[in-house]
Amino acid sequence: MSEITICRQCSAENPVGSKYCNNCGAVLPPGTNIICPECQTPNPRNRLYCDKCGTRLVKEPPPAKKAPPPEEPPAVKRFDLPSRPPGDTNELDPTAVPDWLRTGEHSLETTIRQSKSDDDDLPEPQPESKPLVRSTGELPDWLLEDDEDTEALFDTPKEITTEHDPELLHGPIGGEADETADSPTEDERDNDWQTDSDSSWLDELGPAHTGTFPETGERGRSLDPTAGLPDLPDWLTDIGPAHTGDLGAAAAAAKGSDWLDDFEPAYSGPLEEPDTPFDLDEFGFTGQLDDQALEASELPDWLRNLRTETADDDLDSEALVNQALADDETAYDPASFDMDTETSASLTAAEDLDDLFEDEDDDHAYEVAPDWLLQSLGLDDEPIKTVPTEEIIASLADDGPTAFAEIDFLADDLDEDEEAFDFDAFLFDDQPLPEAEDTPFNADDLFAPPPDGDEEEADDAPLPADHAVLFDDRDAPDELISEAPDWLSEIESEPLESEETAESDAALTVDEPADKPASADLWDNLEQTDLLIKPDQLLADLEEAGVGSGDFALDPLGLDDLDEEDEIPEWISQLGPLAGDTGPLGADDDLARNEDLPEWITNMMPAGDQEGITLSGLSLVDDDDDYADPLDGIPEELASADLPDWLHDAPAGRAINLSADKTDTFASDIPAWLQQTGDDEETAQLSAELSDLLGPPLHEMTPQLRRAEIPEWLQALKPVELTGTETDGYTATSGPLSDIRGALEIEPLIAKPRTATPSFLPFNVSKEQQQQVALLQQVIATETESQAAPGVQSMVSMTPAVRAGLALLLLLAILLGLWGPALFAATPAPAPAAAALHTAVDAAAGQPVLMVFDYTPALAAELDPQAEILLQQLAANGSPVVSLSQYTAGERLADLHTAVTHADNRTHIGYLPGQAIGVRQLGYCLAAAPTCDGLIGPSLTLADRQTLADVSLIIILTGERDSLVNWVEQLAVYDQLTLTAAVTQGLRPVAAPYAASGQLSGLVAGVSEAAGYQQLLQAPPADGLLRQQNAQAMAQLMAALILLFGLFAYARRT
Amino acid sequence: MIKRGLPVTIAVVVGLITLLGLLLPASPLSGPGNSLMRWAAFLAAFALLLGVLNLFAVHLSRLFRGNLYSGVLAISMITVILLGFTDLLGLTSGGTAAAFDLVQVPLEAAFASLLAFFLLFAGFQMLRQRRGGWTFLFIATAIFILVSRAFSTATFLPASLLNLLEQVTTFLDQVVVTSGVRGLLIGVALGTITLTIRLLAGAERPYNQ
Repeated sequence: MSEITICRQCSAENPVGSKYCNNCGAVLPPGTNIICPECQTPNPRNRLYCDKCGTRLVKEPPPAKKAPPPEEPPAVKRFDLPSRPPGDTNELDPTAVPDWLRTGEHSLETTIRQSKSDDDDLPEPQPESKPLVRSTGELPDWLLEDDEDTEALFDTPKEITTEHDPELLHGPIGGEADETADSPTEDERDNDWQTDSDSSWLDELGPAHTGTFPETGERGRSLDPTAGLPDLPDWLTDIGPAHTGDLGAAAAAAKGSDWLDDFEPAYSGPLEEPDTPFDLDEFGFTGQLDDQALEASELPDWLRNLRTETADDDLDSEALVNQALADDETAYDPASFDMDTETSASLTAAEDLDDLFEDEDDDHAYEVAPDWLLQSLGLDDEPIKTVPTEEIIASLADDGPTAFAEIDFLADDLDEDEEAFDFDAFLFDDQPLPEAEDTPFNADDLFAPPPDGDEEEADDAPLPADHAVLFDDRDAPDELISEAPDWLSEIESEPLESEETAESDAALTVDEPADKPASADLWDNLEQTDLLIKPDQLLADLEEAGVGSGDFALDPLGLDDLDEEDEIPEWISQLGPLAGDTGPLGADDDLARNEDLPEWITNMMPAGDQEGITLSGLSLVDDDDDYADPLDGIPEELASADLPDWLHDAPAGRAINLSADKTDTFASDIPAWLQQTGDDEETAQLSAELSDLLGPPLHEMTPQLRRAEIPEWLQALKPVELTGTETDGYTATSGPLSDIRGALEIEPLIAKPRTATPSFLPFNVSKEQQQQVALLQQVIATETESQAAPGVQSMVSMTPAVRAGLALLLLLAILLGLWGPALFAATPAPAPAAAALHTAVDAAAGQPVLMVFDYTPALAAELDPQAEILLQQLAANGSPVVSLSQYTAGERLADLHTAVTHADNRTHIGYLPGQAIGVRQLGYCLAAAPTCDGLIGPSLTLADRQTLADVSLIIILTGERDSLVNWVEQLAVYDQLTLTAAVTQGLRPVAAPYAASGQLSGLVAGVSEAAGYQQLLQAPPADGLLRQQNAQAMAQLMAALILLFGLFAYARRT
Repeated sequence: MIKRGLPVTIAVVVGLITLLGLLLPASPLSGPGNSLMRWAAFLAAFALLLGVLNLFAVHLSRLFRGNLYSGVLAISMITVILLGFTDLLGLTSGGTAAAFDLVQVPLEAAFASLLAFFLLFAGFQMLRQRRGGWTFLFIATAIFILVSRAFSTATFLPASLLNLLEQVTTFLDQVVVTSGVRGLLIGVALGTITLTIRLLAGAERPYNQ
């Protein structure tokens, strides 16, 4: 608030309200004051309300119209992402379920397409872009890292190019996925799978899993997985070095051929007869089989290099075939077949291949035979896809024994005591097999057109006799043979002995004959296709890599001597116990249940009463007809829920359910040693990865999806609405983690209030605080009680009347005491203190007595009688009186009373100011101290000083505590002074202690004691004193009665 | 520092001188101590004068605003002062005493007589508002004292009963009441000593407030 007014002319400061400047006389601003419109009172300008009447001086401004809020951009809430409230299923469309979740298959193309659609920022490669050529020096270290313990079989290429893999840039991966349909056809998926299988992305599987395949690892590392795949999804690239090992490439190669099955040690799960004939499509060999395509697109470089290397190996199967064809043994003698004599088996297989494809009309051969085989045989003129499967099967019916020569030699050696594999039951509807001798193997027959008969005729065609011999044990379970892969052909009924292995090794070293038969071209072609990776070659590679045969529980090449643990890489050791205690397996149908099998292999075997075969990540259900709903068991909300990107991108193979009748071939494609799930987590993960690689392209699995097995970690995130169980954790209500339990709560910038734990900063309540609280509670309770007490309101309303009545009763009692009967006018006996006072007064006879009149006219009615009695006694004793008072009114009373009894023998000092200090100063004078220069206020003459010095008795007449205390405490130090007091009845409790302690030599209190003191003067009490005593007593009695009445009255209500 | 230190220094020095002068009357500090007490009394009288003048000014201003009661007070002050001057000048005789006897003594006596009614109403009001145990004890004690005091001079009661009442009243005065009052006095004395020490130590600075 400004108290001055600044002049505009001279800037001088002027008081508020000035009209003219005090300095220059200029007119000050007139608006100094605001006149109140109500009372016309001037108010300073800065007042809103009038000082006098409180009227508002300034009109309240009208409420400002709210301006339309400016258009602000939508507020962006921190941590607020698009969300969907709980229970809002919104897009509950079964079609919205991801394909992999519905069908159980997950195409890599779809995954990549999905990833690409989610990530449009990635640059799309130009369709006509040049192949990317990079050097290996640009590769990261983890790709170039080589296993020191293994020696690379192949030289690492110095350059990495996508020249031979144009589809990586222009195919579905390369950015043409948008143009493709959302649901590719089966062929497309197969082709895609074929492409994907051969793509280098499989090579990304890291050495952490498959580091013991150095030869393939070299090839895997030779290809930069990201060089030609700019659009690869993150989940692929994120696999990183841990998945870029060699096994992925090997597994991819295994998908394209059966060679990997040669590693199969002991898989002998119940293989059922499929409903559909053997379909080569399921192997993914439905693409173009021309050499160029195979060279360029289907095979990775490392695979081609591998083939080149293996061509020079001593264990070259081509040489064996040529050697076998050079011999003049066209008839296959299954009885003489022995696993140990792989050479003869290979020769027989070559012969049978020629016979198989000799008949071009035999479609069965086309279908059964691997495409690489057909291509190598020169059947690439016509895509295999054009050959109906039924025709191939029919062809195989005619030339089955020879056509299956490559696999029958393994079935031939099944233990006779066990149920033999019924191969014809699978292929030929249990038709009798023709004599093998009647159908010598002729490769030209493979090119012969299929017979004119329909499929049934082909099926009804008898098998050759040799085939019958091969499968002479008709009691063998069909499941074992229906999809017997090549690796099974290597299984011998008799354990491989070291000597036999040595023989086999020796046989494998047979030089290639100079003269090749016609059928030898088959292997030449096979060599050219790069698809032929011979088992012996691969095993040799594995042997070189240090892989013991025990790891596979099968040692067709006699690699038992490689079982030393120090030579076995760690990753293989983790797959299971070494096969030191695992003897060679026989051809028993219950191979897996052989007691000689290691436990870890036996554990992988499905139980006999098990309906399905559960592999790592694969559930092979042998339910033929019951095509379970793909969404069966999946909550509808979950099925149609918007799955996050990461869930879309997740490899679907982890949750694949396959029916055995449709997928047993697929299952058989997966080497059991890779499928097994050991205790080791890494092994399980390896199997899962392999399942991922092999699972997606099989279109026949589509309807076989059963109840999805949601992992526990995903189950834990299931929304509460679906589980119906409450959770203790935090459940997100918004954002991408909406309705997901267990999510970490996002803490806002300002921490939310939380309930303090008892142990956190305990609040200590002091005793004083507790007392204050108790007092407040008591006050509140009392007020509440008083307000709630019945009758209180009525009492309050009656208060004026009650007060008047009470006052009237008290007044009547006083009047009755004054002029009524003297009921309480008896003269009491004098108190001891009063007697002491009387004695002190008599002792000071003739000496000046100081009388202090420290009372006012209000107490004059009670103290005046005492003052009069004492003055009369002093006058009788001849003691002069020195009077004074600390009260101005008392000075007048002193003057009045002393004037009656001591008109000519008194010293009236008058008013003594200063209270305690004044009394102290007076004490100096009373003690005749040299410091008594004078008193405060009154001037003292020399006579007065002398009189004060002669005072020996002090009588204090007071009704105030402070006055009594000041006199007693300030003058008690002077021993020559006698202090006495005459006080009111109410001050008696204060004066009594001083009287009891001797500080007061005598005491008289109240009217009644005054009357008793008067008896000591041997004079009748004054009449007025007795009436006053009577009136006072009656008033006290009346008051006691009123209080007693009130006590009972209110106590009853309580 | 000076603003706070100087008053404290002055207070401590003056207090110590006064205290030592009172404790040691024969010491050289007795004279300075006595002088300091005189100064204090003079200051108190001057403060009283200032208070009277301030009171007169305030009520005079309120008189100008139309407050009638303030005018009565101001007029009364002026009248008494004038009577004092006239008495001093001899123009009147006993004018001040007459005003005192005719006005102040009856008024004070009247107000003092009302005290009995006020105490009675207060007791009755306490019964209405607070009906706790302490209330009943207080009322009971008051009733007993009143009755005992009243009947101590009763003429219709036998002497034995009067003696009994006298003994009970004496017991209450000398034991209960005296002990209570002594406790109060001792407490006041201790409080005074404590306050003195605090003042001398500078811990208590009422002059800075």
